[in-house]
Amino acid sequence: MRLLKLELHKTLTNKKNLIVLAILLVVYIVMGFSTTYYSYGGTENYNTYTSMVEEHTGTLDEAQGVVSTDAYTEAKNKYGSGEAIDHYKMADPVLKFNADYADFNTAVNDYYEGKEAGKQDIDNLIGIAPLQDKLTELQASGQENSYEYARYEKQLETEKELGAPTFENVSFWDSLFSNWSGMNVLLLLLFPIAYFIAPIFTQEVRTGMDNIVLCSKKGRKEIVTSKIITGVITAVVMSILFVAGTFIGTFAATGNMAGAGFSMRCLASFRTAQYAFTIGQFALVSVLWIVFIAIVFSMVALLISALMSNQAGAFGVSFIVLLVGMATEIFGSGLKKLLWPIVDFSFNSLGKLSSIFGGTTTYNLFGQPISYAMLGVAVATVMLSAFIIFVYAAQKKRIVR
Amino acid sequence: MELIISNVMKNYGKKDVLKGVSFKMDNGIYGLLGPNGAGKTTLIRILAGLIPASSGQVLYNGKKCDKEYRAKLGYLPQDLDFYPNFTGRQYLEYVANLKGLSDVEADRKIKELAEQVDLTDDMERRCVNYSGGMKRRLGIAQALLNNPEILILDEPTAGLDPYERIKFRNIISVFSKDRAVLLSTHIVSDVDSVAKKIIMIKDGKVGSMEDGRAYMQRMNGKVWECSIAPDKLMGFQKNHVISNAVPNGDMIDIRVLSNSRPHEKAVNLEPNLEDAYLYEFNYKEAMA
Ligand SMILES: Nc1ncnc2c1ncn2[C@@H]1O[C@H](COP(=O)(O)OP(=O)(O)OP(=O)(O)O)[C@@H](O)[C@H]1O
Ligand SMILES: [Mg+2]
Repeated sequence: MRLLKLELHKTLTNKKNLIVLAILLVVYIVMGFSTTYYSYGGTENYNTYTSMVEEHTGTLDEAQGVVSTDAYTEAKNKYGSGEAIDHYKMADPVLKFNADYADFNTAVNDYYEGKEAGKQDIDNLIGIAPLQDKLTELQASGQENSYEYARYEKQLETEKELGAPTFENVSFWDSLFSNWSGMNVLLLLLFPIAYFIAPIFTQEVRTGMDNIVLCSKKGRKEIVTSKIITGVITAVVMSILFVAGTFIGTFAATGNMAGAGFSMRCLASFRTAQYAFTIGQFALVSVLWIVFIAIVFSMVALLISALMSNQAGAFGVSFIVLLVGMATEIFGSGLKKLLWPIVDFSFNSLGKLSSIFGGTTTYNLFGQPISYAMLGVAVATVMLSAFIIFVYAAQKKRIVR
Repeated sequence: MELIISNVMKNYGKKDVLKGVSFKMDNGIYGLLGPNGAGKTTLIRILAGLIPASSGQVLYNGKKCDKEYRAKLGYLPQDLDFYPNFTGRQYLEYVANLKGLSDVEADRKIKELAEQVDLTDDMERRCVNYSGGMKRRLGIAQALLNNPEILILDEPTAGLDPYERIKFRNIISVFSKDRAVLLSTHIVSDVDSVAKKIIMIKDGKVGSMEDGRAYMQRMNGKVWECSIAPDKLMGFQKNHVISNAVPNGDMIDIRVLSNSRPHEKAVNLEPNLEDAYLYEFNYKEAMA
């Protein structure tokens, strides 16, 4: 226990790093607040926006769908899409409402009809009608035992069970989840974790303490255990600060957290989710997921620290590990297909809640369809175990330099 | 207790650092004397299990060195720095824990050792702010925490003032009664009076292991004193090993190591260990 306490003192609970933690918490709060506050264009606009949403909650009002879609299309034609329109949405709550309702309209159409021809992802069909067509087609060609059939059959069942998305006032949660974007998890959570973890082993080299550690009774195994626990605690503490800070900031901006009881499909980024979670339940799952991914990454960073002799180098390599995932985003689709394990299970991808829990991607595991989230858990668990074993092995074989 | 080092070799790439080192250790102080780059630290690291030997063996009571051996080892490395956030006490607690002491034992031992190395009043200060001498003493305390059967000290007196040096020597003398101490140094007076055996190491080879007196006896008739004019000193130094030079009026009294009489007026002196050291490392090859 004392070893762990002292190890933690080196990594986390010393004055310097406590200050860094406090600064990070402030950053998280400020980010949570400002992205939310400004994306709605201030409190007054926010209130206008939410009252419009409240008027249109529930299943799709087709007439309103047409009105909003037309209004939004017109605005896009006028201002241009992408960042330009985002800017106008902030200033104009009516436009923002129309944009959101237009998106919702599309989501409901997608739910029934799938994407319009050409936009449909042929490897990941969505929409009840296309799914039914596909199943009929597979039946006709006698492929009822195929993986594809099993997968789409299951998806169709889930879609019917969950029903079409509804429109609700979940602005707090939408903002919170946009704060928990893959990029934020990567740069504001995992990156600082690499900073804290990098010295855990390299510090022993720098100070020459390796000389003493490695020839002491507990210097080859027990010390690794306490360093691993230190890494895990660091990851957990950082994740909690990240989640709590963004939560507080977002709440400070919206002043409410309404909507926790609605289906997670009411969230703008999770309209095609295949899970029956409420938003509240899903937020909890997301927190666990973020903590889990942070722990897995902390063990990568720890292994890197164990293999390198200098702190800056270890930090740099950990950063490169994070960059690799980001780099895959610019791969062409051919390369993406070829390198799918890296593309799908890099920290960049694992940190993206919307693709892990929001999509319909499944994998073929011995003919059985398995969801991205399930496979993600499995892959990350295997990685975690492997890294831990490697860290032990590295210290066992370590020699002084 | 018996530690046997047999034919240990170590090379880094093409560089042979140790070329077959063999000796035996039991209780008592063993002085490992050798100039810079002789391979002292390399040998010590092999003994501490920190680097593997390229060939050869180190056996502790007839067995390969394992966790049990590590539990009985105390080691003070040549270069030691400390964690920036630790007080002296935290540092010793950390090492005590690594050495497997229980918290109660550790607290007792830390109190005792802090007393012995005279750091009691500084235990709550951050050890990166200690003076060089204090850091050394903290390092020595760290090595003694587990009451080691084998204590290995790599240049432990570097940076200590004469008083601290003597104090350190006393601690080690008392400590070595029923334990083995290997003390590497290039300062002869560190081991001169206390070492039971002296191991001279040069270019990765050790000579015969003897006590200091044997080395000195072999120097009988090879240590000379004479006076020369100051302007002759430089020339004289080229061809002789001078172990001391003291101005005396217009002349300089020099202490010279030589197999034969270096000067017609030279007289023989009583050898000391420093003479033996210089003879071993500076005379033998260069002058013979
Ligand atoms: N990791 C290494 N890689 C290559 N050469 C090394 C390494 N470590 C030591 N050496 C070389 O081995 C030789 C012996 O070094 P060592 O540190 O053992 O000497 P030493 O007797 O302790 O010297 P000093 O009195 O200066 O501490 C030196 O020539 C050194 O350059
Ligand atoms: Mg050395």
